[in-house]
Amino acid sequence: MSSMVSVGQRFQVDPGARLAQLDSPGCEAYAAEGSEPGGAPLFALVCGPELPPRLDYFTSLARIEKLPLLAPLAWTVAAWPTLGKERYILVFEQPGGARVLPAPDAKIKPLREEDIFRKVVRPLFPVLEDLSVRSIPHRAIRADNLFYGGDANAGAVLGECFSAPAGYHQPLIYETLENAMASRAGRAMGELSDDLYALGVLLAVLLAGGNPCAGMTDEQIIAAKIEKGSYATLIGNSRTSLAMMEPLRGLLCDDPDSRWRIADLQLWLDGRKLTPQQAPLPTKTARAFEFAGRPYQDLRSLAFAMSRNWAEATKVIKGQELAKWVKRSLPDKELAGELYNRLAAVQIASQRSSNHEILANVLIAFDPPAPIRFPDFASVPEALGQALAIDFRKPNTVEIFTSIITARLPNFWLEAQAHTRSEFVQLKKTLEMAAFNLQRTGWGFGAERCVYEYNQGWPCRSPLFDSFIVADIDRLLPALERIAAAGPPEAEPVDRHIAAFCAARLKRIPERALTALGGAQESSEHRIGMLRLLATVQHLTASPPLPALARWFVRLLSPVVESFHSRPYRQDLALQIQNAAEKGDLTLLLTLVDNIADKQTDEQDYAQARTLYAKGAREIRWLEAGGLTNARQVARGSGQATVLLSAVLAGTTLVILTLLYVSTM
Amino acid sequence: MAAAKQDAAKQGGAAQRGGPQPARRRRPGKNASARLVFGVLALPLVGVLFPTCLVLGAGMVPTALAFLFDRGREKYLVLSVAMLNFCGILPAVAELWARGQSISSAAATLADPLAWVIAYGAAALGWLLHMGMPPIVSVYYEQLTKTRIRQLAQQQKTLVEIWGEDVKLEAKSEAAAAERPKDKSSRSEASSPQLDKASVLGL
Repeated sequence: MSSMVSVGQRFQVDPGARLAQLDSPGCEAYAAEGSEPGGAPLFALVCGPELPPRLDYFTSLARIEKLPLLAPLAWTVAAWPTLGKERYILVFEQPGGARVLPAPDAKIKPLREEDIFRKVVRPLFPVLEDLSVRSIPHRAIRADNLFYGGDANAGAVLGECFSAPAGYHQPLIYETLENAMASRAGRAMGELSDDLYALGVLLAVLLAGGNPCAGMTDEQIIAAKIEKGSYATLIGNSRTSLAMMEPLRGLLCDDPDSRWRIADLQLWLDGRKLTPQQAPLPTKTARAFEFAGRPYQDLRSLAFAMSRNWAEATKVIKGQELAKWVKRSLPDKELAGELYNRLAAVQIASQRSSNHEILANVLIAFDPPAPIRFPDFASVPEALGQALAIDFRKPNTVEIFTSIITARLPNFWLEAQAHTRSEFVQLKKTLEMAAFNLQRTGWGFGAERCVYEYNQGWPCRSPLFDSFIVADIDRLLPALERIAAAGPPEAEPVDRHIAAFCAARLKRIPERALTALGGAQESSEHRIGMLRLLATVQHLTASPPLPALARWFVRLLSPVVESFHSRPYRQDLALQIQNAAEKGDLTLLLTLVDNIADKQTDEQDYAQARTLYAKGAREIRWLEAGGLTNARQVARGSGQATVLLSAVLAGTTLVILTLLYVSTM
Repeated sequence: MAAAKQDAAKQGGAAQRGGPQPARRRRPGKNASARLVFGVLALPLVGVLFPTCLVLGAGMVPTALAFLFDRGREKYLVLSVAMLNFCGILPAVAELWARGQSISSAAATLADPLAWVIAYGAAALGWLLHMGMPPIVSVYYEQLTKTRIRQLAQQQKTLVEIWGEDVKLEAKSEAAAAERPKDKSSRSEASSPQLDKASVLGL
């Protein structure tokens, strides 16, 4: 039996006991057991490396009990034995039955309306109500994430929603139009209204016994939803009772303001008759506009088609036909005038903006609620940071994100919305900070800073941490210490991701710690900057000693020691550095290698030594050339000596003569 | 290393002092007036002490000869001979003064051969010292040179041990510059790089 993996004090996961039927997308399920005997059967999800779980809701959901929802009992980050790498591990209670729909594209026997009402909607209502009170959107309501209860009469249990970002794994049909048009990474975190819409789709799927849009591509589904509405697309000509038609129309309403709220669902469950409002379909224009060989008679459909055919759309907006069509065909003349002016300004705009930015701008004007769109990229504004984080390693993601922010497309999107929401204020501040961070390209800023600034809990994506999950600042230094202890790589211990992660997670980091990273890469100055940054982190997080990491720096900073000219000082400094490294105190190490005063003194002393050496060499040359032994020098010296000797003799003689003269008187 | 530096500085200074000194410029005006003053003061003395001057004059002929022979600016020979010569003639002058300041006393003093022997013998001693000193000084200077070169070499060795071989760089470039012939034409050919016109023209 493989060694068990502990999750907290209470749970153990068996890496050898696979439970594939309980897998979530991107995660593998394994059997787990609790410390209390006789408890309910448990399972654990081992999350994939790319998407961190939604742990921000873990504490809120810890107390959710006796509701038919798979809520995590515990979580941890631990090394998974079969991989040798760290993974998020979430522990849940096993549902009583199998999945209602084995797979998203599976077919089952359609459920009876009675069963849907009794076993699905009524049991799930308290879950939605509870989540609404906690302001936690589920965003994973779908038929293949629904489980039967333990017995035939038990209600369904809603599956987990924590192992991936909100809505990431939802099939397109379960998403509202706005989220459906966004890429998976660019979907909004959402709110209860999105969950209610998904519930409506769930009901449609259960009634149909599978995906009612099977065989349609994603583009066709979205186009149909735009043209006919979600209800018509999903239900179409299916036979539904009037009783079921009510919640379906209410929940599948494409207008979020008119969509059923939790109270409406409550009333329906209580037997009240409601008349759900139908969302108006997009206004048809007087004449169709032909784009890429197909006619379009509303702005929303045209905008969607243009977003899928960027090359053709770029040509169209630069031409005159579209502007003329807008002016002549739109029933809303004020809107027509606005759009006409915008299209007329395209020629001027193309001198200072790229084609992508111009077209993205036009698409926002044509369809304000839709996400911001670029080639192969679409995101609602509030999910831009998430999209950047998830798709960071995909080609062009950073460039697209930078273009969107610097072209102020999100700001234009906010201004284009028909209704202002309170969240827009915070979103504007977030966008301003993103623009500020992108303007600065130094380490600690740039796109990497945006990833960690706008995705709290996102683990650091440094390549150094391939085997580790470093999601909060307290885990950074221990991870680096373990990497160093295992035999430090040739790489440096800090890269752009680590610098940005530190700057985003530790607000108290002084600016100096980041500007110190400004030197040329692999230079001593740059490496001292890295040491300063990590020393600051060690100090601010009260981290324990890091001897292995310190030794890593000692190896990288050996050129600093070698840069001192004085050999005795080098030896002394090397010894002090070794001692500091053994203590694992990065700040102490920093004071030794970044001692400007000592460096200046060394340079001055070295200059003096060179001068002294040169002076000595000059004197040797002079001496060897006979400077002291040449005839003139000897003559002068001997003359001086003779005079001196003569003076001594004369003086002595004078003294003797004087004494003799005095004695004879 | 600081002590070695200071020691080397001191020794370097001594060696510097052994080098050629800059010539002092004389002021002709000042010398002429000094001679005039001396002459004005000396004449009365000669008048009063004529016998003494006679004896001194006769006894210090070697000094006058030394003045003629000595071509050096410092007049070391003159000084050496003069001091000893003067000491040699002093007993005769003392005897003259004992006899009384008169021409006859002076003649009697000058007639004493011992006075001549002592005066001229002392002058000869001065002359001998002057002639015999150069070989002695030469040997001394040779020894001093060797010792100093040893000291400097040791100092340089210490500097290299402390600061590495690069400490020699300044000395090497000085030595190379000293050996290079001073030819202005070769400088323009060898040292100026190929002209980067684009850089010069700001293109």
